[in-house]
Amino acid sequence: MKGQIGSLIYREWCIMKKSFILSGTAVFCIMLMMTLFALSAKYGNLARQIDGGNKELKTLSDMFIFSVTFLIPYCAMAAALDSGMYISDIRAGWTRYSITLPVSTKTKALAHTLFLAIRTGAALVFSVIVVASVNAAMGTAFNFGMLADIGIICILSLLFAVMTEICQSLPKDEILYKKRQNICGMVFIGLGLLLGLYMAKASTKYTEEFAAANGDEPVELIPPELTDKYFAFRNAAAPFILPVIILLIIGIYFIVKKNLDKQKKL
Amino acid sequence: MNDYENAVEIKDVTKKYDGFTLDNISFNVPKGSIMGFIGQNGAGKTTTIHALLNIIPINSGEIRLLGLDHIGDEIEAKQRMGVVFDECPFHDLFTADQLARVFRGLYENWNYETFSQYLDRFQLPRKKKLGKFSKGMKMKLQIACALSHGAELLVMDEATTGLDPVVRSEILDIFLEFLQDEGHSILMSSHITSDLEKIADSVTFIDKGKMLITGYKDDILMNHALMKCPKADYAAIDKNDFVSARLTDFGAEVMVSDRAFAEKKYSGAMFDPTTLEEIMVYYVNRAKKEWS
Repeated sequence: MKGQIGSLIYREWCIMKKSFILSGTAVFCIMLMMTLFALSAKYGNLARQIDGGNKELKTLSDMFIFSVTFLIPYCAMAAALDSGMYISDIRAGWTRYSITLPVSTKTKALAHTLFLAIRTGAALVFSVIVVASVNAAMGTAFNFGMLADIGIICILSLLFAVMTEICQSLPKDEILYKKRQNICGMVFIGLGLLLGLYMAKASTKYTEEFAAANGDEPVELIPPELTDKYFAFRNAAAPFILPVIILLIIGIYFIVKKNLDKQKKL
Repeated sequence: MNDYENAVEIKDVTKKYDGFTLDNISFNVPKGSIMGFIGQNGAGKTTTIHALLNIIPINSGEIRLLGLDHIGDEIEAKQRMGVVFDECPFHDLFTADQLARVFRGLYENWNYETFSQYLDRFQLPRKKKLGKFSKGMKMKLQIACALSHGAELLVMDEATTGLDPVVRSEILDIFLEFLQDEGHSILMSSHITSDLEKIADSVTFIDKGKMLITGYKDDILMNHALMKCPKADYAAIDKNDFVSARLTDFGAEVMVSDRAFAEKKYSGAMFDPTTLEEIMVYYVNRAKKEWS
């Protein structure tokens, strides 16, 4: 069974390798843009606008860290999504062929879920390393709150995985089933874009209003009450993040197994 | 390893769909033989093969593969079987070497040496992505995968369809080599009856979900004949004595299923040996009885 799980994971890896490279490239590009932004904040035009005060520079650094903490894990988690794999399996004819293999549905479901867990785990570790490195470079300590932020993004990503798996079990004539790959992918990309747009808008607002205020108190990127609310939620949710992640992965295993069983009842 | 007489035993298998029923199908593939499973498109060949591979559940009946229950001993039976479909089921992203790595863990008896020999024989590249393979190359690769884990039974669904005659001939040779081992058996569905005529030991013919003929190919070909007669003589033939008749401007070609009986009863007529293809065509038109 171990050998079969290893083989099935290797197969999924071969198929998803391309997605990993694309996600890695996206993360690298975002990192590059953010680094340029940070350098500009420290030494460039942006710094000149800020009048050199430590307080303002710190706010920009916070913004950078804020972006890294949310955007990098978000992009990294995209690699954990596999909404397209089912489609390519069906197109290639693997879904039917796999039933002729001497592998139980339990083993297949376990391999699929295990690979999802490995991908999610790798994305988590990668995100923690990037966020911690950026924090260290900016002179801030990586704290438990940031880990919780990454954990929340991880849950969000796993919820997308749940959504993808549930879409597989829908009746074949449902529009949601036919468009499942597009819907899941578009919702994920859409949310990423919204997050990015919000940050872009916040930074523009910041520089404009800061210039207008000409050195007065720096404008908050996010309204303080909203930040406080989020921090309160995060602190309350923090102890449950890991159990929720584990529960979601177990849930995915059962959905996958049910879907595989269902394939035989067509 | 269990002992068995028939590599495949299908008994009274029924599968119902809306608008189609696979109705009480029964046949055996004796150990060490190759059975051709013929019928026109939509006759139920793929449904039968899907049923025996447990890709679809059956409504009733019994299926045994290599002497094992096709559901209760599914994993064990599948360890000892190879399956080839009409379309290559592997993603275009894979290379032959990567596939070998996948299969190594899936089959207990996977043998890379054998796989490698097939790759060399078929002149298949190891590092090239399958997306750049031709249909013939993909089919050969699928066959190489099916034959590299010591399979005792090979199940093929339209495996030679869409291939050029040279590739088909090469593949048929491989099947004949596979059958050199007395413990090896093949069930091969196809509507290219000429292939089956070359290599099959026995034949099962189904149409619209119903089984019409099953038995040794030579017996089937020997028992059936095309009786050729002028129109005037045709009118005197009892309709119950033949499968169907093709009427032409010159007379009638009548398919009989009991040649000895027909030769005795209609001694003045001319009887020609027939082919599986002709048998298939005449049986498909059996409801019309007369066609042109």
